[in-house]
Amino acid sequence: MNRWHRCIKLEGCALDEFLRDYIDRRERSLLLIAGAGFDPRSTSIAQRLATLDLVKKRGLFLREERPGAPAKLRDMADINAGKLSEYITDSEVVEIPIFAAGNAVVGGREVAKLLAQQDFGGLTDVLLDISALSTGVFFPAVRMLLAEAERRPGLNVHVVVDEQPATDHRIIGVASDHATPVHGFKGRIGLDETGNHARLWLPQLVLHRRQTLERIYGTVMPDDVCPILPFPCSDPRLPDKLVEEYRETLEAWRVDIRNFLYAAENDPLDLYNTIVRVVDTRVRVFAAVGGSLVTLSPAGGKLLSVGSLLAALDRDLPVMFVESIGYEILNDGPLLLQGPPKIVHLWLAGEAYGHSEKN
Amino acid sequence: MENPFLKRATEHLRDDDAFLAIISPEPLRHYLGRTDADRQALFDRLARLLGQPGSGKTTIARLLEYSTLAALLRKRNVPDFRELAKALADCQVIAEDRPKVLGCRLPMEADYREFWELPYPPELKHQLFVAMIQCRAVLAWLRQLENAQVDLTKVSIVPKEDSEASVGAIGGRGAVELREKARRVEAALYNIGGAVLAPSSNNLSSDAAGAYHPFDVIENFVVPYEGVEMLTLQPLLMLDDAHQLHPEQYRLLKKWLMRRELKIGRWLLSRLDALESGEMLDAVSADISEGTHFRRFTVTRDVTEVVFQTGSSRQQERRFFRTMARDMARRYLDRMPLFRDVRLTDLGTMLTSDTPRIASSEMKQLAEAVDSSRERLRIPQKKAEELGTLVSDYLRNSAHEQESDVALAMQSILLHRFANRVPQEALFADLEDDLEPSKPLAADATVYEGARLHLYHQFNRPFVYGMDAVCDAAAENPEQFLWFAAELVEHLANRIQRRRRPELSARQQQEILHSRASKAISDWDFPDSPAVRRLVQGIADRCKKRSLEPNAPLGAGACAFGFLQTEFDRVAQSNSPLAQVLKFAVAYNAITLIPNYPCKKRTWCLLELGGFVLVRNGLTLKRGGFVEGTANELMTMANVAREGA
Repeated sequence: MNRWHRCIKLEGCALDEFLRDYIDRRERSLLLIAGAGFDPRSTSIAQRLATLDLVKKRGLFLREERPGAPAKLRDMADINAGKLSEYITDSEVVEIPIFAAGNAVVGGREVAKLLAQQDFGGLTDVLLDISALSTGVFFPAVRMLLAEAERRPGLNVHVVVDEQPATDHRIIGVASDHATPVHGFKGRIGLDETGNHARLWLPQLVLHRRQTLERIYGTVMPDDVCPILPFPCSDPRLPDKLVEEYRETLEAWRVDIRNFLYAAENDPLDLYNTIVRVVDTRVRVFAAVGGSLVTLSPAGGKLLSVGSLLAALDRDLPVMFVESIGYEILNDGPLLLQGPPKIVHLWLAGEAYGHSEKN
Repeated sequence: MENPFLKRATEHLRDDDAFLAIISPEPLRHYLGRTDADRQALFDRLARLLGQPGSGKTTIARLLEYSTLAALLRKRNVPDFRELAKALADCQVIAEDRPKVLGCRLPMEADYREFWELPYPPELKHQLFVAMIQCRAVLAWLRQLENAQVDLTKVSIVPKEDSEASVGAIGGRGAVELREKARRVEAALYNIGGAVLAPSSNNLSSDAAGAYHPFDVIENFVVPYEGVEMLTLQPLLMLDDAHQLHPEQYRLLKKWLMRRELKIGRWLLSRLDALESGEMLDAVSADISEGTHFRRFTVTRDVTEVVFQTGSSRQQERRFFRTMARDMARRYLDRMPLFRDVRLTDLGTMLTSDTPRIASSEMKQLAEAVDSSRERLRIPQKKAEELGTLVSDYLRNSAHEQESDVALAMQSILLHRFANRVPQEALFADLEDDLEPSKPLAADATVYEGARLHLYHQFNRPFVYGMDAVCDAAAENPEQFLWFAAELVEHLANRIQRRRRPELSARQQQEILHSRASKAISDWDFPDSPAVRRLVQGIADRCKKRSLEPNAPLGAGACAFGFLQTEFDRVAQSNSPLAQVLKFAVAYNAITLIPNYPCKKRTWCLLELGGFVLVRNGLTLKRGGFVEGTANELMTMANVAREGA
């Protein structure tokens, strides 16, 4: 059974109703964990929560520090950090170094350490806003929070995101030069005992990251590749553009056209269910010939990344990625939100599922 | 149709036979020493192999893995493999058609680097790290044997003379017990490195923190071979991509592997940026004087160092690379039935074409421009004719007499040079017979190259075409060569399928190469790549401007940026943003560093543009010409001062 087969996902009016009727009560106490970065979506959810009067609110804002961050982006992050502190007054901004000396990726380890030091006593809800958090940070954070929810039956864990694919497509990460597993998501990759497993890699294709994915391929060395294409998606031509950009690479990887996985851009549970189905099928098929190892590489849109995250958590899958050493904004115009926030909420653990029982 | 040129990294070829089919023996001969003593030094002490991405380090390591050697020896009588087997025998990894070493390659990926981030004292981190290397090495050696269909129950180790007592601590003599112990240690260490929160140092399991030192115990492996005999093999561990380690971790590892009591062969393969700035500068120093034996292969008491890509002299290196690239292309084409079936396996013959020419209307335009230059510069007709004769003599002697467009462009260059070399007042004094330049004018290969470059930029006359140009554009990097060749081959395959002549015109080649170079640059995705992109474009713009001056002052043109060596030394030692950008630019072949270049009684450091940048910007592939500048200008180009890239 899939753990999040019946996962609660709210957006639009239903989410408004949920915040108003369920969260905003005197007996509830909420911790908002969010990124205090340059991304204009950093503040959307805090701003929305600031309108709730009754619930006790606390904020923990993570400022991801990268050595290659341009001054312009730092200034934007300063402004957003200031706004976040205004919206949630009982809050702190904590710097999370993403790289250590020699460009080693340490962001995941640092955030795990930080969350281990937090006092979750008395809290009823933790909202992790991943809109402005990177994969290397929010994946381990969710794992830590779910572990905390296992220990504290009354704790609800929510993931929220202001999903704006157009904004995601304009933010281009400058890759570091090593592919690494996301901290806490090694899933037994690299062990001798999995050396004979049939390896399948499910990379999520995104524009302008061809070399990055080739780098991950070189580390995973899969037997088969099933690229994930966002479809349906806000830009209906996007899958075509991706296939065009990756034409040569897909040929080098010997990808059969029937191997593409399509996942709805705005529904993480669609991708989650697809991955789990693939993994379970392969476990059965390859059981007699050494086993199967499926590796994920999320990238691009946040909601699809959440789909990969849930699958990785549920089936203990390795997640490989290349951390960004900095970011560049495509097209020189200001990075503004296109219209009102489109907040999507997923309730991952807690009372909706009978406390700490597996869902 | 499958195009093997697209699989630029040989790691993509999983099957040993497919891998062997495309391997050229040339790099082995070229890089792995010239004498028996050199080669011996690769196996009796630490060997450090340094080179840029795509320079062939991993390919050589994979070739020396046991399963690959075994696959090769099974096919040793196939003519194509015979040469490779001979090269391997020269390198002392096989003897009498049997393997001599049990090689395995361990990529130093994140698993190893993360030990350095654990919240433990440095000694403990190092202990866990080297334990991981040792258990993984044991497992990899045994997996190599397994892949070669060796029955592990018949495999055992020969311990070092004084290590009999320690055999139990590594599992035992037999391969099965060795593997069992190594797997337990690996799993224990893996769980420490992979835990979301690291366990406290007091809570480490005995498998992880216990005494486990197989490298101090194992001398050889005894392995059954072809079911009839037992071979004694020296284990060889090749640690690939060691630049991924923390600098201190790398230093300690190097020190640990340098211990002379170790009997296993051990290689550290890394990119040049694993080195400290000063060390890197030293390693990439390209030789500028023709014919000097250079420091490609250095043997010291404790370490043997092999630097890929900087060899004897740069011209020799270029000649060697052309030979190797042709051989590689032949092997790759031989794997494509479309080409093999029609016996088209020489890429060079498919890239020869008629001499390109500009259109007749453009020719007329050019002739008028030359004439008007002559009038504007007030050079007498008689002098211009003399210069024309110089040009035609050169073209005739160099078998280029067909190239009338180049002749005009050369004449134009010489006219401008002439005007620069006679006193201005003489030009206005109607002294037709007495006009002599201060330095005699010559029409030579550099003027010819300069003329071709001018024609490319003025009339889009193809400039880069032909096999040698493709090789030179790759800047001695096999992966870059394959990047260019892949698309050329794709077009050729298309022509063959459509029953057209299997040839690409110079214009087609130029367009393909230009588009490939542009794509490669826009695909750059490594640390500081935006700044590197800005930097090389800034240099290229300066080079282009200088190269296109009417008198072609640098002959073939500029392809490098030179600043004073003293200034470079300051940058290299400073660890400034510019030093970082230069480091990654060198590591990813965007530029080649040529320090200590003497010119005009000063010592320069040249930043020579990589092949992709030269082709994209239509700059000469001939080396030597550079524009002068300063480190401040470089910072402005890369925009690092403002943004701290």
